[in-house]
Amino acid sequence: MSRSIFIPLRRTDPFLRRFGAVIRRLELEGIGVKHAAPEMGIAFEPVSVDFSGLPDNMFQGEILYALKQSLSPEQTASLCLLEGAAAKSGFAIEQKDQDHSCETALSLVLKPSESFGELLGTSFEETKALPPASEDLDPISQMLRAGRKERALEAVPHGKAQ
Amino acid sequence: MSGRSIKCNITEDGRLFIVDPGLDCLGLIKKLWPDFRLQAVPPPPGFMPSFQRTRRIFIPEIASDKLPILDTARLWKLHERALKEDFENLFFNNDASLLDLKIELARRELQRCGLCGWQCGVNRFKEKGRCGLGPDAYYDEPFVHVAEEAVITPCAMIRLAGCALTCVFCQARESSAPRPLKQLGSGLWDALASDEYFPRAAALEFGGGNPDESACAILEALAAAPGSLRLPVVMNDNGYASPVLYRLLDGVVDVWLADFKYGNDACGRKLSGVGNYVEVAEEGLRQTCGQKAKTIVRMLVLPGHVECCHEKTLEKLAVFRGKIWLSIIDSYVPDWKARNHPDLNRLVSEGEIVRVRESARSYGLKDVAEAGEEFWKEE
Repeated sequence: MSRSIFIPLRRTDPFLRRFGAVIRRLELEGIGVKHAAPEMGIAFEPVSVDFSGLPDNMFQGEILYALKQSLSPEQTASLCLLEGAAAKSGFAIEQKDQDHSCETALSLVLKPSESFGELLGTSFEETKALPPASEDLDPISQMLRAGRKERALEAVPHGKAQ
Repeated sequence: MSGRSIKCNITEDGRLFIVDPGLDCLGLIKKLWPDFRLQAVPPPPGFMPSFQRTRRIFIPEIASDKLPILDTARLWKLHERALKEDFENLFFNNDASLLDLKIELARRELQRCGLCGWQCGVNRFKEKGRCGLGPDAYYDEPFVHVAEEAVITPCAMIRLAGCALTCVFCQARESSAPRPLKQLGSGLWDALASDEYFPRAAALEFGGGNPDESACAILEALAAAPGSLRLPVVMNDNGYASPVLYRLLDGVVDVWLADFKYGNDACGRKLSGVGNYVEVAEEGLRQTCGQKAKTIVRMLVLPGHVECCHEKTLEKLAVFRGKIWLSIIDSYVPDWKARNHPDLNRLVSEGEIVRVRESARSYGLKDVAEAGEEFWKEE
């Protein structure tokens, strides 16, 4: 099955340029990446990633793992905690809200888990069937072993819109 | 469950922020922060919201269906008299209430709109104002907020579309963009009644976007509210409203939760696109402090703006000492277009927050975070 996604990258944004790590990681894995659609505007550099040849259930794990590789260790630890807590509470990280992310913060959107997987092009049923990541590739295990759990747990909820 | 999206930010140092957390994600919050406790100082038992009184003040011998044919100057005179409760508490069938009168005046205001600091004068029945709105108001999925100031938490949050400001660090662009969400009207009460969390709300908050520009629809919605509703009405606005807005909502709002964003017009122009923010916000405070309603001034500490904005704002707020409560928001995260502004594209430092807090204390301003039941005492 041939599948593809678009990853919009702002050329001018240092944080989003780090998402280039996602692309490099995919290329290293032998996944086809082609730069496409210049008509979408000069501010963006969309890439089409061809996932043909990959097992379906590797899709999301690869993206999330590669994304985590582009974050700071503290961000990764908090993201992992958030993923776990969200999954247990009926939410899923639906969208990496790249347009609202900046150098100092990763912005995410949580949605009730029924819609999980839409952005990544996988169906809910496929998503539910995803196997857990193996421990040697799992950043949360690395973070917890490194004793960073406490740091991430210091976070406090923030309520007031600005 | 409302099924709304919930925004989160993870800063580079690993701090996790949930924007506008609600009862609908309390399970998630508890998993992330097991020690989380909801801070709430609800109004006293038997609290009667102002709008319920206002809908029971009647204008003698003026039937509600006659309001549209009276001239505006006369309506305002009747309005001022009614606000002073100058009329005897007698009424006949069909007498217009003060709330009816306010709705009529608000509708007329929309014909030459001057509700916000722009005073754009647009006929919003024919075209859209600077806020992007026509005559109708639209709101996003309501939810019950669990982390507003304790005196208004938990509060049923009605986020209205449209805003006259274009703050580059806005966190709510999704709801301020005017799009056909749900039209504000009597259906609001059905929507809230069907929300499993609404019975736990201790306040009803109109936010946004910005609610001022939707004042007419808010008044109309409140006119259709159940008579049994006993929640204080909170108006969470950007501080950029005109005096006429405050007159229309006098006797309707119980708590003004108003921003005071800048201490000079250059920053207001650069970051919010308006050149007279300070003057408008100061006048707004004079107006709200002249009402029976409580006033909470919110100050979001912006990185790099302590000296030019927050210090100067605190100096201005000192004039209102004893009449206002201050809420210092110390959790700024760059959002929307903030990354294009080098001064705003970072987190606010601990030193900046300490400096603002110490300065506020030195002016003797009351911190709403330290308010207990005295907040709700009649003055």
